[in-house]
Amino acid sequence: LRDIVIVVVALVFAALFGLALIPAISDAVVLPEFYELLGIGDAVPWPLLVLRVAVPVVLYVVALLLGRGRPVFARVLLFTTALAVSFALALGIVVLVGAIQPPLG
Amino acid sequence: VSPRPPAEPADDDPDAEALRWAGDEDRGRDTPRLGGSAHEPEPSDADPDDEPVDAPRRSSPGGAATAIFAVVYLALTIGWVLAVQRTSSGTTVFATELLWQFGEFLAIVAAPLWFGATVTLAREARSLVRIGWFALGAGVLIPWPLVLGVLAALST
Repeated sequence: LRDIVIVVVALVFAALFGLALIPAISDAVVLPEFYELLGIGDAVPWPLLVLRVAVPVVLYVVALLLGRGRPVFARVLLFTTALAVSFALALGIVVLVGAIQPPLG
Repeated sequence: VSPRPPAEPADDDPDAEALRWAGDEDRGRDTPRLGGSAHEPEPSDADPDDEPVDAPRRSSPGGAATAIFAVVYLALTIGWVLAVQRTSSGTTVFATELLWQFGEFLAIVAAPLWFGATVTLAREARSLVRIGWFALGAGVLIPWPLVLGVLAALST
């Protein structure tokens, strides 16, 4: 039963991390086109866009690895913390992308 | 004429025996109640400044670091509360706005969660390891929206 709970917890948090991944991928696809439209196609902040996509994946894997051999409560705590950090970093990256956007015209 | 000393109850007197408690001989009558003679500890060669073995433990460096980082993480949490005031999803789409609000909430609780996770899961770890996790979290959870906003305000 414990193994089933552990798998369910991992799957539920995979879905929640997916929520963090959706806008990151969406931005990575849409923002370059938008910048091209504005005539600043050369200024696409690719490192930040890639980082925003990578952060949820990396944090999920880190939480998964840190939780190995720990009780279910510890795993949930690790996943929740990693998810929260993922959203906090995403928020910081979004603001940073806006801050370094070159002036238009 | 000197006052007569109180008579010692005889051991075979049943009334006197009823007034005794077990252990009276050791604690009250045969040995002095105040310091003095019989059970006084032997003087030793030990340094008087030495701490006794059962002395209360001093607070460890890890405990002090935890207290300091508690203040740091409280500041980070307040920083994120202020930071999310400066951001918006920029959309009226309900699902996107809902996800954005969810993200803002998680960003606010990220610092307390990291602190709680470190305290809970690294309890048995060495102080240096725990301090390392605290420091890593403090670095990762800098409220960039607030920092960038303040920097932008200062530069204009």
